Amino acid sequence: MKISRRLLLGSVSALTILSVLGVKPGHAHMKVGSTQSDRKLIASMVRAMFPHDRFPDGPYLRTADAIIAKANGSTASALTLRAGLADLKSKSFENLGKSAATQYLKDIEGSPFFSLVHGTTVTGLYTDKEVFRILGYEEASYDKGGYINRGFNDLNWLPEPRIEEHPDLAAFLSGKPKQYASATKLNAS
Amino acid sequence: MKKIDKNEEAVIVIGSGAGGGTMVYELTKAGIPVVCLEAGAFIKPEEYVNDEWPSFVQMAWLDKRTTSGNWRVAKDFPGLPTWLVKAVGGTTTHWAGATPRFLEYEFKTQTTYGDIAGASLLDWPISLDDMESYYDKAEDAIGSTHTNGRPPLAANNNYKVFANGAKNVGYKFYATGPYGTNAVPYDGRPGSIHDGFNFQGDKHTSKWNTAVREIPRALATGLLDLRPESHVVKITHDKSGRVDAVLYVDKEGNLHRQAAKVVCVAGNSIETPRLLLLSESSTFPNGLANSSDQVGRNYMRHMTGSMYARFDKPVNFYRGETMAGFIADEVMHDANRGFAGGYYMETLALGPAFMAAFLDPGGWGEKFTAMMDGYENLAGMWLVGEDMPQSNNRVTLSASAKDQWDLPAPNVHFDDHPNDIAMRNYAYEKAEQLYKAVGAVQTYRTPPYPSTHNLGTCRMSAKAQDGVVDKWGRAHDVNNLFVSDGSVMTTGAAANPTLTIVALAIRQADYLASELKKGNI
Ligand SMILES: Cc1cc2nc3c(=O)[nH]c(=O)nc-3n(C[C@H](O)[C@H](O)[C@H](O)COP(=O)(O)OP(=O)(O)OC[C@H]3O[C@@H](n4cnc5c(N)ncnc54)[C@H](O)[C@@H]3O)c2cc1C
Repeated sequence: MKISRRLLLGSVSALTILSVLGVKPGHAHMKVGSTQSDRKLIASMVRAMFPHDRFPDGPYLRTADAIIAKANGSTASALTLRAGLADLKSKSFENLGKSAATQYLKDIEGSPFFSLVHGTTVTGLYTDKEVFRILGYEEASYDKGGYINRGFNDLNWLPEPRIEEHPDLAAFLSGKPKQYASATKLNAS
Repeated sequence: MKKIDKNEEAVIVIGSGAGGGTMVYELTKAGIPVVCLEAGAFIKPEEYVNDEWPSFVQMAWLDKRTTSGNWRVAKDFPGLPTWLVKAVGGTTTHWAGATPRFLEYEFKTQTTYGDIAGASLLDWPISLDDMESYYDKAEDAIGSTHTNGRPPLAANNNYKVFANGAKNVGYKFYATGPYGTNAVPYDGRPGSIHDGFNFQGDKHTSKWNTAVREIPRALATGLLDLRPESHVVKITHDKSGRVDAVLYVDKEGNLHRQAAKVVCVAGNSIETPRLLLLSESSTFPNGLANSSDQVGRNYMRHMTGSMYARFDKPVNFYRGETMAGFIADEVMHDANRGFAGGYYMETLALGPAFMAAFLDPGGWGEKFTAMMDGYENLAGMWLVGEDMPQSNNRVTLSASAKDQWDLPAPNVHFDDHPNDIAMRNYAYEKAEQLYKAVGAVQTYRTPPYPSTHNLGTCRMSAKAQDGVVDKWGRAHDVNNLFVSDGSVMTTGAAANPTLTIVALAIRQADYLASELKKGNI
């Protein structure tokens, strides 16, 4: 099996890749979850699972797209998505309150559908550039000269700590260990 | 670059990471021509990527692997037991840089701790005395801060939280190192610009790795024949049982044979035992160098865990050197704590991408998102301590799973020892106290990541029946076969392993060079 770099880098995440390594999924030509309302429904499920008041809909919708794309990568996962969507609809998931939605997710936790949505979200939602910005993460730094002049040490709500080793360190490290009790006994208890 | 004929019986080093890269440089420096076979490509610093998943995909070892045992990694990352790198430079491209030495008694834990049920403890056949001068050399090679007059790195924000917490709970032994990244220009490489991304490869080259120091220098001697994208699949031997060649696959999938005078295996603690097991023959049906049945056993990965803490003020912990923060107060064995051995606390930061994947694999809901949402206000540390070697924690050849060459994939079996669990729980509590002492509003106990420290699967032993290699790293069974990486560790100590791997390799290269010059091999 040859995995091309483009294939690896082009997909949503390495974890997703790892889950497909070694598998050549057979693949029916049918796209599940292609309507706007499916997309929104999945996004609402992702938001219930990973609620961030500060996040607008964009990152959640893009994550939903990644989930749909992932699911359509094999017949089996497309069927998983199809069944999952049907269940969300039958439970009117979008209209459930917060605690009912959480309860629903708890009930299906560990199911293939839950795992599909969860796994893709972990590596999709939290690699979204807009999310990076909202969380205050500054991304690549080398091309900006690192953080040496951009706040690597700008924390000012604590005193400046010592950075050198304590003068007693060498003596401490060459000291004899304490053997008050036999570790064997302690482990057995 | 030197070209060594495939029929010439060469000194061959397999792998170019901490152990292999060091061997290659030390041997060529001593005037010995070397063929280095490295499975990965030669990726240069300018190609390293400041982005977590793309960097991982660029360099991590993603060949098929399987897991078993009760460790949480087998559940969270069943196909990814380790975080290792396949590239020239090996895992030193992604390493952080923490470089503590072993303590004196950590070379004799069987004697110090006594028998511990279920543990296969064994004293090393060497002592700290044997290692001291090699530790000096390794620190100079790596450029460890705080040692031999090298200055400490400046405190970054994560360290400020960590060190103040340490002080508040009464710890004394905190500092920003020892750390394998230049605080100031050293050894022809620049001082740090605190650019973070230690785990993605340092584009600025302030961080030591064998792809920026040992390999280029070995090439400059004119004695190194470096063959990247050359994956060794078998070591063969002659009738007398001496190793006589290695077989390797190039990137197109073609098989080659290189004749061998000496073979040094440094493929890391998973691939090294796997290769020895794959090298079985009618003479050695259980694998090469495995008459003791110890190849692949006693796999260690350190007791690990992480503690992340959220504050009500900004930290921006991802800025600066990722692991330049050290607390040694808990390292000393003290059986009164309810476990054997000790551990270090070290600063740690992840970007949101890795944080989401590793904070709490499988986690979701408000407790999880509160941490992610407070990303700017997070501080973090890694807990790393000695784990117990166990005979059944082992690397074996899978009966069913195959790699890309259709060869049996390695299975990594690991059960936590009760001692590992007791130490981890104790360490989590201490870490929580530390962060609460500087005002943490939420703390999170993060379980172990795929193993970054992989040790012990070809361990050193005085007696042939107890291990795989002798005190020089030479196979007990095969006179011209050496193991030159972290697999040789008899026990793991609390220390991050790389300084010791490099020191052992320098020592082994000295020995091998003198044996070769004397004509003893
Ligand atoms: C994120 C991260 C952070 C770390 N931080 C620290 C730290 O702060 N301090 C510390 O001490 N350690 C740290 N480590 C661990 C450190 O990187 C390893 O201990 C060290 O690199 C191991 O050296 P090695 O020679 O055993 O193997 P490696 O460095 O892994 O080298 C093995 C090489 O062999 C090659 N290879 C394997 N099989 C074959 C084959 N069959 N044919 C040809 N080539 C092969 C591989 O491609 C690889 O290049 C860290 C690791 C990671 C992943």
